[in-house]
Amino acid sequence: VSRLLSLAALLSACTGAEPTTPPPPREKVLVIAANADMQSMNPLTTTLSDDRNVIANLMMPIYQFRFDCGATAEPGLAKQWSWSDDGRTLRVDLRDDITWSDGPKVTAHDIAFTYQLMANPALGGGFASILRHFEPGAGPRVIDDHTLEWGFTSAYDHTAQLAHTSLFYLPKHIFESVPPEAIAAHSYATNPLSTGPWVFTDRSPGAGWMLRPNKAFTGPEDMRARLDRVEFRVLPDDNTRKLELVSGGVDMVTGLTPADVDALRRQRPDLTFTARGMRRLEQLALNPTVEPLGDPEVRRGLAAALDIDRMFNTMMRDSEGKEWGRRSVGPISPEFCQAAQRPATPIATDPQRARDALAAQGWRDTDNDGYVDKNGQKLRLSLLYASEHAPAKQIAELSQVALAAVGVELVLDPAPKAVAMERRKKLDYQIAYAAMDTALFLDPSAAWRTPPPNSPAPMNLTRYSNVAVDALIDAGMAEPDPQVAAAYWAELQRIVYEDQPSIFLWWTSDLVVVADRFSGTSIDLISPLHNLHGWDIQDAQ
Amino acid sequence: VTRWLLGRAAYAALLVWLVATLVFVLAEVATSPPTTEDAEGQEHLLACLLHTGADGPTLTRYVDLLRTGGLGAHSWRPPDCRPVVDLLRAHLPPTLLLGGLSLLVAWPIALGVGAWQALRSGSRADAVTTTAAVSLHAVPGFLVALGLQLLVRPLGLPLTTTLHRAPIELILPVVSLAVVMATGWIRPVRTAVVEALALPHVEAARARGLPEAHVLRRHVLPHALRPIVVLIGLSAPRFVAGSVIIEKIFAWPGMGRLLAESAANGDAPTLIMGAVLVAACVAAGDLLATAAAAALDPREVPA
Repeated sequence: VSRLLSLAALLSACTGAEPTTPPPPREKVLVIAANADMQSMNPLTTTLSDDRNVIANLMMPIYQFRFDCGATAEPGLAKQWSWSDDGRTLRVDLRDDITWSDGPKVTAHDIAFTYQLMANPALGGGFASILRHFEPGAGPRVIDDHTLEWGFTSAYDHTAQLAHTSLFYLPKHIFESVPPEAIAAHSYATNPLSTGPWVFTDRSPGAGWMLRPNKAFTGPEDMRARLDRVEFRVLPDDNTRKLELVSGGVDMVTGLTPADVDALRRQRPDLTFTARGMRRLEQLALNPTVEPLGDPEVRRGLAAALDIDRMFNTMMRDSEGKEWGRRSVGPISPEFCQAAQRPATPIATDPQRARDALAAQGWRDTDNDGYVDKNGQKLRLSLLYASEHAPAKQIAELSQVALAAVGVELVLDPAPKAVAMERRKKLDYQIAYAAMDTALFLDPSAAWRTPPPNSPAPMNLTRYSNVAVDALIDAGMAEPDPQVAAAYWAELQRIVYEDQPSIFLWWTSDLVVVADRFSGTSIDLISPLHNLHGWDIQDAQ
Repeated sequence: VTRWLLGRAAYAALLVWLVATLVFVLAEVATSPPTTEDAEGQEHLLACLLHTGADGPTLTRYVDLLRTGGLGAHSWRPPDCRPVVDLLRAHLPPTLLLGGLSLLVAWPIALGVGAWQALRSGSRADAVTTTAAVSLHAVPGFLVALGLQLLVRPLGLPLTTTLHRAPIELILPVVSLAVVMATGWIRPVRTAVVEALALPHVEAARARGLPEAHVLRRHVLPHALRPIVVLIGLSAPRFVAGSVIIEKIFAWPGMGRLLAESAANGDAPTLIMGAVLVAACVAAGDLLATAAAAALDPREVPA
């Protein structure tokens, strides 16, 4: 009995209600599925917007941009700025308390040095179209360690001017001794410095990388990182990304489709889906050199034949009826509210309009085989799309059915992504599916201005040329007041939609899903990782 | 024998040259060096390609390819257009590890199951396992991989490769690849063993009352191994090219993913070098398999 009592006492001691050391708090970790490996954390050399979104979290931004019907700038590294009366000179005062993660202070010299590098021909000239806005010298004048002055050749949208002066900055003390041609291969690509709330660590090629709080961060307290770690895992396969999300292996996935929303919501109700904003225009480019696509009424007729509303409902609406995009009525995104405030009327579904337009061009079904013909030749058009892109295939198949109903045989022409892009650049297609992203600042020049003769214009899919549109672009781009410029853009929208050089389908948004235990998320039009420092986990203890 | 081997080596070199030329021509037609676009959509050759001759004359680049075997080429990968050799050096070891481990798993399974079936040739067990193996082999690799992921999900095993690269993360890709390999080899192994079992000297050994295991080990397997060695030799490219689908699904950073990404992004130099490497492996595998088969049975060498 005494032994049993001793044992009971021992057990009681072991399991007693005495307070024990509390377990350490669980690490607050966000795991993000990256669709592809990073290229470089050097903003000067990377070509990926995903990389730039990560880099933005490593740096104290010169200005903090927000987007609401248009971009607006708030102080960041630049604590204040002022304009000359003619809008051509910008004076910027920088904070003097921001340091690089290896110690030195961030100064005006870093920014000036970076813009000199951008202008260096050894770096390819990729920034030429932005640098041309600046007066000769291609960069700012350094007034003192924390003051810069920029000179512009002409005034335009002030927020765009601010954006052009704040693309990024590099540490002069690291790169001043590196020859420009050696910069791309410099170890900074995988070992960058920080001036912002995060530092880049634990790079594992092909597998991923991490961000950890920057302990040397000297910026505002409210910009300190709240999470302990952000882990990026490279998961190139769509299905695997979704499976890992459902299994809890990752917390955040980007690039989803509306169909994914339904499937994921059923499996994990604790997910929050966010549409980042309509920046992507999906369209079917019509090669005007291919008969009969040179005729605007035929182009409008083909758009009327497609039943775009039905396609939209099939592809862009989830089972709860929520729309994850908006039908396009031209090249200006509805996110630019002022410019898009007078939307054109969408072309109504009307197969007869297509038949009439084709008949006016001599295309009639003379042999009663269901397809129109001319001079004994059936009207057969091909539709080029990237075979890896499932939504493009679906659009192609739906278009095939719709056009067959008006006597046009549409042959599907899938090609690997790189090949499809190459063929689009060379205008080596008849109809081509394309999804083009629009920038945060309205500038339709690349896509809709008459391209220079004998030079490539990869963004101008159909080599579209219209004198009236050129004039509107010139006027809109030279107008500093966005409200005044909006009238030019609205007129441009109307003319281009009427011309229908592409069949405008719809605007889509990058669709992002995050586990809803994260708070303070600020996924927006600017970036899915915008202000990552504000993210937190409420139930971390 | 030397002349015969030299002939085979020349044949291998011809194969590699043909593949290199074919892929070069295809890449020439379908791709061009990458460019960056500025805000106005103007194109600029990727900065790191400015001095590599990537946009030089076709003939010059073809001669370079033949002269250096592609070893001097720069990839068309932003941002640094790293030498193709560096990319191969980074991606080949993970693929060899994955392929090697899968072989170590698949080979004993194929040999064991194939021999087991052969010893029960014509029985119900033989029919059932043969049907199962053929059916499993008919399932595409990506379905095997996805099925395994779904199966182990409740166990909490890692479904894909993480930053930590823990050995446990190899389980699923290795098993997936091994299933694909083993199910393809079981039937040839069974056939080879059945044929060997019917040989007069095997029957004589059995008639002499030698133990079955001894007969199998000493008389059946050496004969059955010859076609199987050839089979494995011809499978060698899989260890180098990787399994694109398996590597993609499990996020394994190997050759398969490298080549698939190169094809998707139009990185012609990496694609050409990868194709040449695979062709070289096919040729080497064929050569080694033929040599091994000849060593096992000198009658393979033509007079």
